[in-house]
Amino acid sequence: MSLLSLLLWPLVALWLAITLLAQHRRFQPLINSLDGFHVIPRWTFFAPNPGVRDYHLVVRERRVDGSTTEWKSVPVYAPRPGWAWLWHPEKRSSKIMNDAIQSIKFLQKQGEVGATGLPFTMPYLLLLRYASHTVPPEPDSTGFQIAIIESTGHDDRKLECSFLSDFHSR
Amino acid sequence: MNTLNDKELGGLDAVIAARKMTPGLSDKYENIVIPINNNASIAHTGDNTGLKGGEGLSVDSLMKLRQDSFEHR
Repeated sequence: MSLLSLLLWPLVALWLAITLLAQHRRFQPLINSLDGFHVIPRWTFFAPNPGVRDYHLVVRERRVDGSTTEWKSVPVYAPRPGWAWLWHPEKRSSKIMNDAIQSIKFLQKQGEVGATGLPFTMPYLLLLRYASHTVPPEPDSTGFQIAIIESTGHDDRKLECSFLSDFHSR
Repeated sequence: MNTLNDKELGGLDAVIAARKMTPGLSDKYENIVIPINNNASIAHTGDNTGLKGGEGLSVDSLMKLRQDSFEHR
């Protein structure tokens, strides 16, 4: 091993160790104060506010007698083919659906359209139409409703509902 | 976005009821949206073209009302 290697190996190892420590909030203030040249990256480097939630679109039907069916998942992601790393145009479809979900959340937060104005917005119509075409209706269905569910975690996922639509006929 | 399992789907009524009691609960977790140019899924202020209501109407009816509203602007 050359002298240069002997010098570089400990340096790189130290850099790696500090980088790992910098991912923890406890050590960030100290490391940030010493990292004047910003050479210690964080895992949020490419996405300062990374997505930590999964979004799920669900639908249920209202029957003639007024009762409702169980919620069903609306599949948004097609199975990922082996060559997806090279060619995966279907990803755009799921991206559009994801944007529509975010847009509805944005409109809700903004408040200018209001809950009663949402059914005429493009993201609402997009999600509604997609759900109605993807999940076939029950025989005695008089209408359907969609909801956006957010999940966090892996094994025991925590669920939250961020949007619930009105009932609509098909 | 993936699918929920049967157990999770079965417990959704409680999840939705909880949300009604605490509106806006998930806002603090908003993610970044990187829009595709001219993406129809992007929302704008006034995207409803001033229309309100719509409960019970079909998707086609909602779209027709929206289209008519745009044409009469």
